[in-house]
Amino acid sequence: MAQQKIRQEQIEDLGNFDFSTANLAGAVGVPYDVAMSSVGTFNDGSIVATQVAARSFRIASSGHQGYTSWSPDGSPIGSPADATITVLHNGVSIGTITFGGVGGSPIGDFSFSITQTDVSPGDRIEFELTSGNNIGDFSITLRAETL
Amino acid sequence: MGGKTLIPQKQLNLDLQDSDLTNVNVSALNNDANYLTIDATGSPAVQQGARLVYNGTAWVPDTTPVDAYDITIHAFGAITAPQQIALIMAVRDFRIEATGHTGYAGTVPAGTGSPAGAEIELRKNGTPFGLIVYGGSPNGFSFNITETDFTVDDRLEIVVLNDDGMEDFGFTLKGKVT
Repeated sequence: MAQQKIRQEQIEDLGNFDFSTANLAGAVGVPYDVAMSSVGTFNDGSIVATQVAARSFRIASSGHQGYTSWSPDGSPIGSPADATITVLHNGVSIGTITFGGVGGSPIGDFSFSITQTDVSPGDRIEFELTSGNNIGDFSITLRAETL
Repeated sequence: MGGKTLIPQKQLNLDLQDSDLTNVNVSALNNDANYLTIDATGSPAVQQGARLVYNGTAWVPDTTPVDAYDITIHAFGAITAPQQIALIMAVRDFRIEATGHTGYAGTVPAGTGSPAGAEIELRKNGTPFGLIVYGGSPNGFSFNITETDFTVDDRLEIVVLNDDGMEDFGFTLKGKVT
């Protein structure tokens, strides 16, 4: 499909749009979530999962979820022993996922710090286990929508 | 609403004065000038990536229901059952349908049909809601799945109960956004 240009009148009409929560309540996006899951444990520095984009999509800055069956070694949440997973876009970090689930829930102790990122066809999204501390059987879903 | 600044390029940044949204970015979708996608940070009531559609005279919220939300699972090499091979965390509400699924195996099980054939169980937060039985040609998967809804934080777990020598297999579950 040939790319189309937005006409000047469309841009002017956008100025009349009501950008309010109420008006946008029913507007939807097209999901293109990025999910990965691992089995067992990995050495630090391992690329645990790679996905190659087949279309353009945008990874959101929030709304992600994680889960693990094996907690990192027994240090408190927030200690250096937490597990850290780095999300890479074509080899460049777009954020980190931290898990410090010792004594916590398998879900609730994932912390996401992800920069909103636009991904184009052919781009790579990789999950690198930067510092695992024996975290195992973990799963992550990044919320994303098509562009 | 007033005080808008529109920059006619691929991404339009709007300065909002009367809106209750704190920060709005509007981006043109790649190949269609009649669709825009918006991100309104700090406004969780507005769905991320929400779309606007141009109806010929004005931009309006795109409320067309989104349907497809298929989930693909694959496993390479031998599995030593029982083994959980995948876990998918829900980041939005979706439904696994009762029918319409498909699968393929590169190395077929040694036996044919349950209990000799391979069995894969689907679980929601640990509770089974479906069984996939394999015992035949590469496409010989039988899906016995109860329609099941997932919400944010739910877990979809895929557990191989009995591999029976099956290797290099994958399947796609038909799902939809709810």
